[in-house]
Amino acid sequence: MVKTTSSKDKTGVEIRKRAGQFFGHKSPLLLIRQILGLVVLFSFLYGFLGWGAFSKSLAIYLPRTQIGPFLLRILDVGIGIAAFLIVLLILGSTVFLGRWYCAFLCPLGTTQQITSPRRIVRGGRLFQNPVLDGLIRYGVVGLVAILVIGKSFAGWGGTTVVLDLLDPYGLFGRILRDMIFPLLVFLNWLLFQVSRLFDLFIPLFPYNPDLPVFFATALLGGTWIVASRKRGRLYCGSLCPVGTFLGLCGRISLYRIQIATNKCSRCGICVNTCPVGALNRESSGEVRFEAERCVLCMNCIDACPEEAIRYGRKPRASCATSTDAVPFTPNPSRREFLGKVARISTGLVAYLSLTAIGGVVTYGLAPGRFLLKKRALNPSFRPNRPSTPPGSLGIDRFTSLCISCHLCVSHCPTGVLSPSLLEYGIKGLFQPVMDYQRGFCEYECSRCGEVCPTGAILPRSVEEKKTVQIGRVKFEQERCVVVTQGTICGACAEVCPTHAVGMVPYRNGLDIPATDNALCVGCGSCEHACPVPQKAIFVEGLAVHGKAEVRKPLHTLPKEPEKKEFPF
Amino acid sequence: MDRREFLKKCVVYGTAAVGATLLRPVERIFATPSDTVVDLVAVMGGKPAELFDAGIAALGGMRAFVKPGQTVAIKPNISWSAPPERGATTNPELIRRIVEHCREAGAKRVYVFDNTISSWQACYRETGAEAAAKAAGAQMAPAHSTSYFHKAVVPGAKVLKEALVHELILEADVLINVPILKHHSSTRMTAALKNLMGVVWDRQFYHYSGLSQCIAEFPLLRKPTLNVIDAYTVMTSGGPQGSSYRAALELRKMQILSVDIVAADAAAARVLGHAPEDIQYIPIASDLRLGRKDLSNLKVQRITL
Repeated sequence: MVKTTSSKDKTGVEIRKRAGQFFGHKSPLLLIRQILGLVVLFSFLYGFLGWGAFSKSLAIYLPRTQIGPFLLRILDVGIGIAAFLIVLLILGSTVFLGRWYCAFLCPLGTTQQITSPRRIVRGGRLFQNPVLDGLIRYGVVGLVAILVIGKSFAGWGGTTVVLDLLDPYGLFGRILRDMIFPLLVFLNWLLFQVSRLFDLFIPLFPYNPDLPVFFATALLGGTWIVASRKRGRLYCGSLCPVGTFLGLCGRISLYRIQIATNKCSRCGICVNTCPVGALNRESSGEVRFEAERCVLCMNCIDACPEEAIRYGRKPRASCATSTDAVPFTPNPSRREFLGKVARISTGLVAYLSLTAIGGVVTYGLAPGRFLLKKRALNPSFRPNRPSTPPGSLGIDRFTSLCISCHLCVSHCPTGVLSPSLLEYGIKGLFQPVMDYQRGFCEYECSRCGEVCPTGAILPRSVEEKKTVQIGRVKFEQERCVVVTQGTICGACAEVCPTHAVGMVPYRNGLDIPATDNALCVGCGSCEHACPVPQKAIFVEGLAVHGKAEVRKPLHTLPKEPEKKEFPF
Repeated sequence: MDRREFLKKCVVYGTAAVGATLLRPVERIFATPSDTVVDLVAVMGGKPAELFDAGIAALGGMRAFVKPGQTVAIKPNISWSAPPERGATTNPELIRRIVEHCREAGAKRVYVFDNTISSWQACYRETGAEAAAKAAGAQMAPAHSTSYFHKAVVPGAKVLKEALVHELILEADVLINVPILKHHSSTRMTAALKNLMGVVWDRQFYHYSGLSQCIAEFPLLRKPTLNVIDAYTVMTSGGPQGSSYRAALELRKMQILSVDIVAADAAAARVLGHAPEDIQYIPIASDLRLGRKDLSNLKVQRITL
């Protein structure tokens, strides 16, 4: 006999639950979803915040499975056969199996699944009105398509701003790096303080707090995690462009959730279980299932007290009445037809108006034109144009391909790559920028290009990267310590890896910096080291990256000492 | 030499002498008393570890500096993420040998640390310091966050009145300063005095407030127990980083050991072909009575292997 327990949930609905045979679950699919989802989620966590070769491998390969980066990558860089086959497999299988990607492969989806409550009222839908709901969802997908794909045509600058803000992978990366990581850093610091009492050394995570970015991320991304505590996977059901896109494939899926109408007691528990609002009650009391919204979390199968729900093959129309699983067949009416017309026309209007907004964003708020810059708020000196990481080829290319997942920010060893706010204008919100106040570009490193999943930063070997000029050094002598204080300094020349900054004789036996832009790579070591608050030496970013000359040391090491005498 | 210094030296050499009597016939010690009182030892002609073995023996062995149960902080120059061949960082074989000597002398804990300029993990790894220190039984102490640094008053300083100093400088019983000798674009030379810039948090303050003055004043806070200058591979130009086309190296196979940080730097300046007075911070440190720059009046022992 199967044991049955009975209880009441918050909404007062009685829950009768039978103990399942798969660790308390009735369906093995739910168990598989939970395990695989967690494995993928923790792999992402380690890929972003872990260390060593394993973290690097995860960071390189795992985001290649994500649809958003794939879309941008295929448009510009192109992709390898393996990555192409993987994504083809994801899209193809969605046609047969539904949006399994959302439950298994999407780290943001799994995160919200974990934070979702067991029972949700009006879950997964930002707007209950189907017209408004469709407008937003398809509007977002259409806007992404127009802005991203359209950028390949007619000399458009193109922008990823919508994808940049709403892609689930990018959103997950930002939440992780800019919201969760600072909290982990705080925990690490507490642990560090405790460890000191026992005379141990726990290494501190290197992190420079960036409060504006923390709050902006919390507002634009963290909201969805917080909202999911009450409304389930609200983001997945209402806004996610990848989810909506996959939903269009999932709409015709062969395998899907089946509700046996003859077993269904119309208790409505499944409706309050579904985190994306794929199960809705008709006015007749019957439950209507929308395959397009379903993310295959399998929670409804487990929740149904009548065991009327299963995941299986959609029955053919001819045998619909002969099986126990009777799918819901909508009755086409005039009203529904009008609704469809309304949805399509409002969708079109949405496309056009949002495209217009996109155009304004793209052209009106280009880098340098926006007044309210983070830099303007900072009293210390800032150059006119920001630098983009080596391998990005230039500002326009970078900002039109970056999805702001901040994987490069997480992996940057010096912290020079940091989230921007408005350095690139609104269209480049959150996209990483070289912040020389925080660090400098390590000469012997090219990690950002290795891990970038969209190809916004192209992979470059360390030797190749040494020839890339991302900016040019500028020296303002009248602010230099040597001139203003009359003491020796040369902090800039000391750290310059290429000798683009060197010291030449000045007066009173002092040396003063001299620059050579043929050698400058724009790493910003000099700007970072300059002790003057209004930097006397700094890097001006290049709109299109140039080439730096590489001069190798000419000497060879002598085998035996030439001087055999003590000089004192 | 102030009274405190004198007393300290009495203790150091006294202990060394007593230690030596246990090993050698008493007559020999008293027969050549000048052998044990050496201000500076310069060794030439061997591998870094061999040079140190000879040099420390001439100073009475590591037991003269490290007592059983003490903690030792070793401050090499590992500020750049560079392999030892580049001559930008202290030779890891030397670090390993020093740690081994400290362990043999009975040190409870040996720490190796530097507030690096390049990213710290890369520096610790690429310079070979981490592997060498761990192999010999030392711990690499982190110094990449302001949390490891504490505010300290520098007594008698005019400019560097206080500084955020690494906790090991304030806590360790013994401090061994192990710089590499190099050309430096700012100060013309970096060795023992300049190496101690890597134990403070805010280097920009030095540059902004008078680099030479701050470098010279720091030892007023704490003088190293022993200075060991690695002059095996010497960068004669293009320093301190040595990655550019201006970098030039000379193989000098030399090592300078002294308790007197100013004397050590004065000798190092000679190796680079400078008069000690040419390096701004050496005369300042000498005037602050942190040590003696006049090598002619010092007892210098020269050893060629």
